[in-house]
Amino acid sequence: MTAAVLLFLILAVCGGGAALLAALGLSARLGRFEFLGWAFALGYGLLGWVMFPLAALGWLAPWQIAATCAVGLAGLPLLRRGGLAAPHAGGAPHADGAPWWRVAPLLLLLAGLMALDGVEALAPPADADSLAYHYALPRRMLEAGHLLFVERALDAASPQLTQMTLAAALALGGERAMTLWSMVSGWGIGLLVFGLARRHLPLDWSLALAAATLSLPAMLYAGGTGQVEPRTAMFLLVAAVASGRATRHDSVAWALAAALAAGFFAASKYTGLLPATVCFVILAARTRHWRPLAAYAAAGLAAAWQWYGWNWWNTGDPIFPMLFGHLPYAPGTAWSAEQARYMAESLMPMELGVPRSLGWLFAYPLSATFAGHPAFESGRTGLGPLAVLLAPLALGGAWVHRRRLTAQPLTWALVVVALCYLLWFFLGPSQRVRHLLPLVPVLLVVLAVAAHRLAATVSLGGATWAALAFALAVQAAGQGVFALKFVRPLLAGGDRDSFLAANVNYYELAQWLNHDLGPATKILLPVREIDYLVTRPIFHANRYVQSVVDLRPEADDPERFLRQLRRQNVDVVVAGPASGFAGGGETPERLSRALVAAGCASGPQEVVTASAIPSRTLGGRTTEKDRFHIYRISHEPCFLDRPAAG
Amino acid sequence: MKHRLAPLIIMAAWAWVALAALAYVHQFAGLAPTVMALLR
Repeated sequence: MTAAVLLFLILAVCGGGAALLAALGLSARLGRFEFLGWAFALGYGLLGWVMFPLAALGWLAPWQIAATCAVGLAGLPLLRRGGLAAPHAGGAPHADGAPWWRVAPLLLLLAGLMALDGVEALAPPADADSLAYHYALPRRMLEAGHLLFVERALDAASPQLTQMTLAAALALGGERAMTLWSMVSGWGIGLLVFGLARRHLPLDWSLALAAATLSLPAMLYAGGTGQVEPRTAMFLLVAAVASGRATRHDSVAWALAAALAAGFFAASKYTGLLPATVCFVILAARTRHWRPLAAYAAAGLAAAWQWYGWNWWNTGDPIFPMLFGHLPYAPGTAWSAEQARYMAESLMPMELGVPRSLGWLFAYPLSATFAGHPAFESGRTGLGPLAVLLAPLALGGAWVHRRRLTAQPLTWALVVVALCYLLWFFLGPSQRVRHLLPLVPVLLVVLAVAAHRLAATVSLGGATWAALAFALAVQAAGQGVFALKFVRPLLAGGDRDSFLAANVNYYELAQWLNHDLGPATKILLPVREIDYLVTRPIFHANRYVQSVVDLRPEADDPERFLRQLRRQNVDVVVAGPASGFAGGGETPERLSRALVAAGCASGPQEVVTASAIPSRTLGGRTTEKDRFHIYRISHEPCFLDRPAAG
Repeated sequence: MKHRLAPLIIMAAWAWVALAALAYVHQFAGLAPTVMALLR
């Protein structure tokens, strides 16, 4: 059943994307694998886009989602008539011979990497961000049966296109279909890289680039999870390449493809607004006609508007909460100036490791590759060594062909990547290197093409292949170590509970809440990692990004706390872990104790869990325990239930 | 095509690849005992 759902989704997405490309008249202008990759990327975006109106209408029953997806199957015949059936479409693939002794090991390597991805996908989900929102929000929406607005900045009241595709998989085939869908959608960028590379490079180079992309440390970390970046990497590649081609052909069709991809990126993450703007600027600077620009603007808005409209409808701010103070907020929106300041002051130091200066703009890629600041998280979720290894060789290739550079669409794709990096560095909310993942596949292809051109002019004595081989060896070894935690439980026949207890922080708390509380008990939960795993209704109480229940360290009014709990129908408050009490996590504990003292709550009851996990891959968990306190809110009116404002 | 700077370019390319590869691996040297323990 799970395999059938997965196949159905893949075919529906490819069919829908092929129909889009056929409607744009681009089928015959793309290479064989390029067409398949673009069809998957655009179809994937279309699936997420279509899920929004379905959810808004409350049509989230499995049969309703299946019937909608089935429409995409009608586009499947177009796959045969498009680039797939026309190997020379859009220019012949690079014709240089590739020796079998390089092709065969690369195919084996790719198969091995994908097999390890498969083992990961068969395990229960354990990535913290995915459990906190990427998988949790789709699950909550399916339970509710309709679109939800959760007033939580950055991770919930934000663009959710990729998460809506997860909702489709979850509804049709359950959790395993969802994790397998994450795996397949993570592979999409490998196919796109291979398709793009085949236009310019021999088969062995193209396979090596696909393998290098799929095994990037950031891909290992995020590819098989609900993280957005591996999916938006597909959109960025299509948007950048299509923008580049639109600059040469003045083509409305390429501009429309770029707009759809850029729009889908913007509908997946706020930072997608950066490439959407950059592609428009490149088009405006390079084309001589208004038609491609108008087409780009209209299609981009159509692809991207949904989640910005949804935010605006609920709060008055399309990019909630970034325009707080500049736009009138809807009555009932809980966001406040104090919360905005607390979020900025708390999260910014965590997210920004180095100054946003011109020097660091150039030093950041080197620093993040060779010795990253902890805020970059580049040690284990970095971008691999290949880009830096190839960069000087690529500069040499660019110099050799300098007179023809501006006529190359790939050059303009690289300009899109460079400008996106520039904007991200100076305007982006975070310096975590994995947020740059969408830019890397295009960069790798462009660098490899330029390095290959240099190698064709000046024999480099195999230095380029040495760089590729080193990057692949290091990354494959990294994937092997990463996969150990999935392979060993699979071979040992371990159960779901033991896997989650070993890989998810505070899983014992989730078990306790699921077993010891009634099915309708609503829980205020301050730890995010177990949102998806708690089967009871919860209020996700992240103190940094929401003020529906104010949990900032400054919050000291138990009466207001009780009023906010009552509005959310909270029955149980979880306070903890005790190790977080020194860092601002003590607020639920302090306010709950005040409720107990006022006779408005009872408790605490203690739940003991294993300590948090420093690294899921490398372990390092200590034998110390973490402690949570459970407070039950009285349903009877109490001393603090006085009518008051605010 | 034969380029007059070819020998220099070949040497520079190999030197860069070797040095960058060493520098990349070096940052993970501290993890070696943990990884070895995981593999055992």
